[in-house]
Amino acid sequence: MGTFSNPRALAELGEKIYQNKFKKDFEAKYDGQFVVIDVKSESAYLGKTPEDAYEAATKADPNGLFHLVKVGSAGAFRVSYTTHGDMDWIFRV
Amino acid sequence: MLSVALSGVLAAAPGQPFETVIDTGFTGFISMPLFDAFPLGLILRGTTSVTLGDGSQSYKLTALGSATVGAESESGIIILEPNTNQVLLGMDFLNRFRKILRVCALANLVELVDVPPPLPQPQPAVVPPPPAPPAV
Repeated sequence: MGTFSNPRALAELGEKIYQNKFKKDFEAKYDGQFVVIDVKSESAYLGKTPEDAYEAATKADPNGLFHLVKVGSAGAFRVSYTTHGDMDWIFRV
Repeated sequence: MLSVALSGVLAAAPGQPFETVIDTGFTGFISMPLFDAFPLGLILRGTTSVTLGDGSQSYKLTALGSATVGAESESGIIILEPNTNQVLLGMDFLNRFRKILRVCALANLVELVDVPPPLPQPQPAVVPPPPAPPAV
């Protein structure tokens, strides 16, 4: 796996891993729970809260690259008061 | 506006105070400007996707941080927003701090109050045993 130049690439890979490996099974069993995808190992860590899922993931690999998903929802959170943020610039070199 | 102090979970509480807005359409804990997060020493956790008000998706960075209101502190996942200057408190924030948001349009009043403690359960009445039948 290569390095990530921006957070969008990490997020998109995390979403892809979740869709391909875990979504179908998790939506049948763990609807409403949070899952952290470690894109380095392509592993998933479940929790009833985002904090629980992150804790399980960091315990398994403190140096993992994590993407948070909510099972059964398009986004892990809903936000009403925000704008689209372009994250591409953040780590641009 | 509610003043909330934010800090990294490893930093000394209570941290730096921010004027915040409660967003009842935000399901998470806290959302804050990315640039304001740097000096606080928040622990970067990764990325997540959020659903915006128009139904579209957006990717955000996440960090672990602490919030302090009065004498109470809670830790949680903070969404880092690159294009805002506003700190938002979501419904998970109200839940963790056990707060109720009350709005009275008639009085132009918005207030944040503590969730009342649960009412004591009614105790079953003590019924004295029936008197023994008279001996024959």
